[in-house]
Amino acid sequence: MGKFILKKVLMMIPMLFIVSLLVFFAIRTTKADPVTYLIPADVVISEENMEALRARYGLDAPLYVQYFRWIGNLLRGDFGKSIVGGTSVAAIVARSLPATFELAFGALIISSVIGITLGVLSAIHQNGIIDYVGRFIAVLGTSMPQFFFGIIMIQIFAIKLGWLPVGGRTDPSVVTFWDRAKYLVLPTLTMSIAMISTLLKYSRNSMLEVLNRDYIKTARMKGISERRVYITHALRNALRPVMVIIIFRLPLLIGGSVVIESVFSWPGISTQIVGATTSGDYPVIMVTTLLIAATILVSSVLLDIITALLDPRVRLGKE
Amino acid sequence: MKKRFASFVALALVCAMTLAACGGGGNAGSSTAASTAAEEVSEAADTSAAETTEETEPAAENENVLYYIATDDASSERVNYPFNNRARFFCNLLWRSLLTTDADFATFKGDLASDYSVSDDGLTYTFTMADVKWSDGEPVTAEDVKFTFEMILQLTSINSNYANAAKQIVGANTFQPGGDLEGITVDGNTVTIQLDSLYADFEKIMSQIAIMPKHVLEGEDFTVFAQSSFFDMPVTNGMYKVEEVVPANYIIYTINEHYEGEKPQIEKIHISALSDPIVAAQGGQLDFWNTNNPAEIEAFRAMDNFTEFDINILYYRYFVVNCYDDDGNPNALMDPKVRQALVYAIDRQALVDAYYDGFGVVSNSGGVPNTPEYNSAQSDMAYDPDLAKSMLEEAGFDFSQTLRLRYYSGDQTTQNFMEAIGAMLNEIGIQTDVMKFENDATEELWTLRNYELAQKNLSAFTYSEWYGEYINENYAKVLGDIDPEFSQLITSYNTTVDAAERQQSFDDLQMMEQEMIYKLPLFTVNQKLFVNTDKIELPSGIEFGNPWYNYDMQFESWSVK
Amino acid sequence: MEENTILRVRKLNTSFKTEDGIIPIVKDVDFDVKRGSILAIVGESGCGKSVTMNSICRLLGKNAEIQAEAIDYMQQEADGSIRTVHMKDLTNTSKEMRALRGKEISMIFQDPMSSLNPVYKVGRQVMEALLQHNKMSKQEAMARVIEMFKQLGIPDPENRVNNYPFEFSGGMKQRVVIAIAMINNPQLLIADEPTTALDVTIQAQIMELMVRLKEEQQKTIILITHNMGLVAETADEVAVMYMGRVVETGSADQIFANPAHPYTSALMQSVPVLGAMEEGKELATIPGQTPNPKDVTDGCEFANRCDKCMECCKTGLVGNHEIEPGHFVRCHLYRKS
Repeated sequence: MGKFILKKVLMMIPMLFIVSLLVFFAIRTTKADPVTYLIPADVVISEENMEALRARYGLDAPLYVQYFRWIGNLLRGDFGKSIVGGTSVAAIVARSLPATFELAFGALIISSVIGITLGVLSAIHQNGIIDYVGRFIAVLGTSMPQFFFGIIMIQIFAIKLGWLPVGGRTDPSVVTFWDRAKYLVLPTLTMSIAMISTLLKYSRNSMLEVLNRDYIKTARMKGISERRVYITHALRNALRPVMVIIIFRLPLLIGGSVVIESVFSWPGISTQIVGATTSGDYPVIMVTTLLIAATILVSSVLLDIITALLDPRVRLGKE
Repeated sequence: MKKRFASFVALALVCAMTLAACGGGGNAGSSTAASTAAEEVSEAADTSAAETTEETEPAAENENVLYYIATDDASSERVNYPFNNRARFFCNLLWRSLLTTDADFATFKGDLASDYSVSDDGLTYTFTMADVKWSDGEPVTAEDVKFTFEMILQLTSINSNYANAAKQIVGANTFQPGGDLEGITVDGNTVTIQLDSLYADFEKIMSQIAIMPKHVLEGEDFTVFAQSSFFDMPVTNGMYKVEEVVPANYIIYTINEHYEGEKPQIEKIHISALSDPIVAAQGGQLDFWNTNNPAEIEAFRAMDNFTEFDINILYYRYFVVNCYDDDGNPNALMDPKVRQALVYAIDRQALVDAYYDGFGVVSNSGGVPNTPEYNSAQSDMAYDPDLAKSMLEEAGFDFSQTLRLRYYSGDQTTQNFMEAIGAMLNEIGIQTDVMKFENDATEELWTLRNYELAQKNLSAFTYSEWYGEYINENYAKVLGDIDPEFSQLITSYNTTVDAAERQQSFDDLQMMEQEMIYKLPLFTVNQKLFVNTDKIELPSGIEFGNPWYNYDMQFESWSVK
Repeated sequence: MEENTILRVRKLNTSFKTEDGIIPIVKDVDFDVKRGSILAIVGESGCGKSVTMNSICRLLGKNAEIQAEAIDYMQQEADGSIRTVHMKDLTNTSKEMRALRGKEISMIFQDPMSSLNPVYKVGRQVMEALLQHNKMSKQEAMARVIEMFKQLGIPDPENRVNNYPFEFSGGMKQRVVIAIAMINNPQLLIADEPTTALDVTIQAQIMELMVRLKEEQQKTIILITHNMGLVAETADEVAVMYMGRVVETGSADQIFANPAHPYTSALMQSVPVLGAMEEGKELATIPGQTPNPKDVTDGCEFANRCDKCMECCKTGLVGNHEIEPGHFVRCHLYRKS
């Protein structure tokens, strides 16, 4: 098992390099020019001043030189400075990441627990009330766009009823986490709904499929209780495809959801990325994109590990 | 069967939730039809609510905080840089200028300067510094004034008004960073500014330029001052100082204890990072907001607790005309007759009626109708498609070419009227291609220049700003050489101090503009300001001015009920 | 009812609720199983053999409706007395039913490849059955499992209990399944086509094993199959099913010597026998196709394919006639007028 993990982890390094190359050259070959973004349209600035500004940001050197400078700095721990705001990218990431993380983490946990539970229960009690509730939620989550749902939530709970804030993450009166909790409710809920639907459907279908297998009959045949049949025998087999979905949502923890953060004015990484992309703020874009790519790679490895743990066939090299 | 039933129930519930939620005003950018429908729903809801209770909210205690949001031109990452404009009141409360003015920008009195005088020839301005302190306790000195002007000459990102004014100072052209600006002399607490040539709006500019602290900023690199860490927690000289900045979350202003004037009654200003003004207002996170976006205006009008105010500002919406094609050769628009014809081809009154009813007016030059400076002798260039067509044919316009119409404003109203304009031009046989700019506006307008007509906006502080555009380097790229008489008129307008002479130049300019149509005028639009008067008590008879500029808002008299 | 009957089924009817309505699959099935014998239930695929057995063991889903006049299991107590368990009154998952399943009545299924849970070790899976019905420590249980493996001929059992199902061949897997079924020493073993998915040599081994179980331990086996050869070799009693009905029952000798029902004789003839067929002779088949259970017919189910069909066969119920002691046929041909 240890060798297995090590192999996978080592494979990540060359992949990360390739990703960094892609990220760098893809973004730099677009037309976005941060220097022109900095200057408002009404302001006249002479060509020499523009060039001087470019030089200050190192934008005048040939691309491959810029790439090596960037990678070099990165490996030394210097993530560069935002062109638009002047703050260090590391600081930007450090303050936005926790915001994105806490939101996505809550949503992932809630959606996974509810989605899987409802899905499994729907499969067990087919055509029962739970099944209907589950199907209803599934339709809701898949057909309603997240931003629409979010806006409706804000209108109902924040504006009409006034129970929750309209957006943002915090205010000056906040001292502990629990003071801040009310800001988390609506964004987490909105983010969860869409995620719940997919998980629900997959869990349900997977569970149904497993329940039709012969080994479930064998299990029942032993005379064990239904509960044991479902939990010990069925669940562990049914969860494998579902794990894939959950693991591939892990990048949300780092990259965040653009839609959610925008609708709720949540100060996370996605907001930074959007702002940086519009203004051509390369240092921010490149580091954040690289970060997200790294998270996806890690998730992939994690998935391999967990699958191996769940399914001995994979672990022992077969199939 | 059962699945379909479940889906149907889901659909019905979705519709119900949508209707429930949509009551209370649509969002910015929604079409008028949708928001009217939403309004009707909300009105129905409100009336039913009103029947049961007298007031929606009892006279509860409001916290002594004014709520605002940072959006568009303001930032929630750090305090705003005051040298592009005063960013919708943000900077007014933090930094003051030598002079201050009223909402009309007509009368001036000292602010950081206790007294000032102008020489007879209008070239020398002398200011006596008042006894004012910075928020860190240090006194505001004449040195700070000189320092600020030297700084302005080095800033890359700066309002053209300030830059032009600063360039008039003696020695500005030869000034080097680290050197000494000859034209400004400091003597104790008196500062004297010597101008090279007359600058008509100098007093106005003096009421706008925010004075910066030399003792804090000496040695800063001003080419990138906008990104300076100074703005993470700046030293201020206004009524308020910055208490807390949580980037992307909120910024809190609190009362500057070193402020020497009448202390303001509102304890704190809370500026949050919420992106939608309507939602923010509905959620109690926004207490005043200015806009000229019809959808936003409608939404705010629907909120009972907000009172509407008119703000007269010079906000021009017009087309930049590109007289060169992509190869650098003059194109059809180089002929002034063609440009004139295009004005007649657009029914601008209809557009104003549709989108800016009551707060917009068709404009035909730099002058604004119904103002005293407006030259009523000029034509109103009313919509006349037949005239337009015949003018174009006479000028030999090639109807097979496609005119590229572009715009950069992201709101629905702009998109709508651009489409409408495209359609109007199609009516007389002109092919058009209407699209939003993909890249940054500055780049598209002045570097790439892949358009024939580009919709641009100008929030002008003075008429000079409007005319200044004609003769700046950017416009030279799209207009080529302009008529020397025209540029002469502009210069004399800028430099004449005598009011009557100035008006004459202005009149002549307006007439010439109609001949030349170097910019294709559409309309001027006023701002509406909405204040949450259920919460905020305003001084009686208050008048509001251009929110992007500094004027006396009588903020010390604002209070929370 | 004879003294040594272990299972008695009367008028068992099983229907499934589907979108197209209620479809009867098992119709009025009667049979007795003698203790210590092998009963073979034969018929084509889809004739309802498995559903019958699954109905008795209550392994069908919620969309199945099971009705019977009687499903009686004669449980032999420790002191030798017989207690009748009226299984028709039990529900699928009740404690009484579960006490029977795995302990008194066991079932093994057709496809050993999918009968074992792929994510658990085989030893653990067999232990589970044991520990469900007996209180003992894990070590004791494991010892018993290893013992069972030895008995069933699985080599190197001490290590093999820690293997996963995919590490076994088909034949070995089936032995594991049998281990699960036999570990609690049930009196009645139901084997649903236990060798269909295996190759011929393994088939022989498994059948031999079963016969040994009957002879050495007096187990009763119900063998569901469509392989007449197997029936001939191993069965004591035979029941022939067609379209959900038992059409003929009798001892194996009786059935083979004197196949009374047209369907039974057709079945006998359609089995290819090595070496006993003339060259060039065509394999006999039963004309027509197995009808869809949805299409409920009136009268005898076999009517449209029977070469001896008469007018009276097409309507009404067909009675059960005893043509020899213990040999029953459901066919109008044997009507005593």
